[in-house]
Amino acid sequence: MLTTAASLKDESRRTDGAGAVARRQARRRRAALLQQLLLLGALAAVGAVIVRNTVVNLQARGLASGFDFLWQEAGFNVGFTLIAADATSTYGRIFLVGLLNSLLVAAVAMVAATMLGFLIGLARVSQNIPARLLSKGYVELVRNLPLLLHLLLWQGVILRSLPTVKQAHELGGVAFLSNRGLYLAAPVGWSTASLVFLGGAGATLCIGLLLARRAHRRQELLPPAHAVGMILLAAAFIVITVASVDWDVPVLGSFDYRGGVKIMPELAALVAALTLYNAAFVAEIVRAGIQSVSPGQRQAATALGLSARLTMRLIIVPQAVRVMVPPMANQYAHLIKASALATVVGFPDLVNVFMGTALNQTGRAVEIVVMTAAVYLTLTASVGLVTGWYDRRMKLVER
Amino acid sequence: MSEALISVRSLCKWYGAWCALDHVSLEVRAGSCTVLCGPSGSGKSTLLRCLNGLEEWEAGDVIIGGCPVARRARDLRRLRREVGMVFQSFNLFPHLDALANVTIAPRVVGRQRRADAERAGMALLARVGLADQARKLPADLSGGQQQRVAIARALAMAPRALLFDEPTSALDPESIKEVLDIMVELAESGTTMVVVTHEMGFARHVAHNVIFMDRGRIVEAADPASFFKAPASERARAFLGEIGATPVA
Repeated sequence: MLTTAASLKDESRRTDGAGAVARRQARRRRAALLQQLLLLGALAAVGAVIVRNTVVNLQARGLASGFDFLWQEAGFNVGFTLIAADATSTYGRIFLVGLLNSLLVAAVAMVAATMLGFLIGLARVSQNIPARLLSKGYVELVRNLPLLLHLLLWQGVILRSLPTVKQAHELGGVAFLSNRGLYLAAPVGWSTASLVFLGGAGATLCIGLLLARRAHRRQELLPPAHAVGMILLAAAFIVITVASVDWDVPVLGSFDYRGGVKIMPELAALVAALTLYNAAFVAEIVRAGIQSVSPGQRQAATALGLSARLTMRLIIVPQAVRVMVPPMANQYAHLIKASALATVVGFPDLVNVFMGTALNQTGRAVEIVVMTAAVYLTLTASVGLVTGWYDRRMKLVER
Repeated sequence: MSEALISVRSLCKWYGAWCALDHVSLEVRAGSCTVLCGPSGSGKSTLLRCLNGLEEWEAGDVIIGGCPVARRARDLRRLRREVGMVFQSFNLFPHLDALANVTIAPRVVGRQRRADAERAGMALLARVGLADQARKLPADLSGGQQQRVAIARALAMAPRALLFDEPTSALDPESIKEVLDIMVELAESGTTMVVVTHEMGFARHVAHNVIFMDRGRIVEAADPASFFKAPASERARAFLGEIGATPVA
């Protein structure tokens, strides 16, 4: 009887204790919520002051605001455009021109830096001592110099090593190389027949690649006769296409070449600097990824009789790639942002033509800076999204 | 008495000033099971890894099936097809499922067609009792299951000998039994095996030869009955006492 009473009392004290704990937790939650609300309120107040100040100051100086300028004529030429643009184009079109130029630079440099970096990274861990020393020397030299130095160096090297326009190197009468740029013959006037031939070449190559891929999946090689046949057929299609199209060949005028397409030397300098600089970092990411794979994996593959090359391709690299994805995403984001250094060498990227010339002419600083920032945010965020998706998919496969 | 499949003649290996193998000689008959034992650092794993060329050595010869093991990469690769290896830490390829782990060498090195390799691989997985786990990744298998896949993988190239480097040392007691059962079955079916292990029960009941090593030398080589009953050397007696396998007086 006595024990029952005692245990009952004990029980009630325990429930009391539990109630106190619950009350304490609720109090803590309320305090935390209050703190967060206060912080949000303070941030909102600061934001409101900034916006109001800006509006008041813009009005006080009689500066216009809004995005209507995007439909106004810009009145200046851009040295390199992927879409048609001239002095009568609108600021909106100039924005698009700059955006496409930035994308071109970033995309080419990204692919080239990845391929070069992969090769250098593999050389860093190879058994071949000269290859290892050379790649180490490259990485240490290149990544320890400022990107700006690379840019100016390549601009100087490319511009100075090329002849003036009067002494341009002629390549087969269809391409001319001088310090003003590389002038190429451009196809104009596509006939239906030439489009069909081009399609034939594309289709042949696609079928060939599909067959090779299928053979690769079965761990076989495409029969050499088939491969050669495919390549010859595709080459024939391409030759017929080239012959059936009209070409606009650049012609030397009094000051410069006219006609064809012009590729600026500044573009080459920018892409070269971004590629070579980022390749050094990619090489380090590749090396770290490969070295992160446990030595037991290489031993197991070796013990099974796999050659060093097959071990690398089938065992080491597939595991290393998973480790490499997050730092590669970082490096790509860096490369995209660094492409804005185009201004230094005078290549008309987004920052140069839009945040530079367009901003100077219109004075719409807030709108233009916001638009430019939004472009870079979107680009780097999409790199993050794509690599994040890849990472999750890999984790799902490996678990 | 069949001829020696593996013979090692006066093998020497140094790690800097440390002599890992000191004039080691031994013969392994085809179809026999040899257990290498000894304290850690005695050179037994190093010796085992010399048998398929995973380690280089300074002097002496390793002869497998009458052919001396050369240093040329291509000869080494051919040798490794004849000698399978099972590791202490399994070393399965984590990005490949169990069946792909077993079939990768026959497909890539042996140039078998996928369907043939998979049929043979499924038979091997069935032999180690894992036919129903073929499509699982190593991370989803228990330690014992992983080691059994590793044994199937080592068997896939139909090697003439199997090397085991402490195959049960990273396992819990239950998994140890799973793996030992497979090894017993292999030994009884006449597979040539060289096993580095501390499982003295396996050595006592399954091995044909027991080799005791200490400080890079073979101290004692005997049949298990006499080794466990009356070890000739003081060091072997001390070792057996330490690991709790006291000789039956």
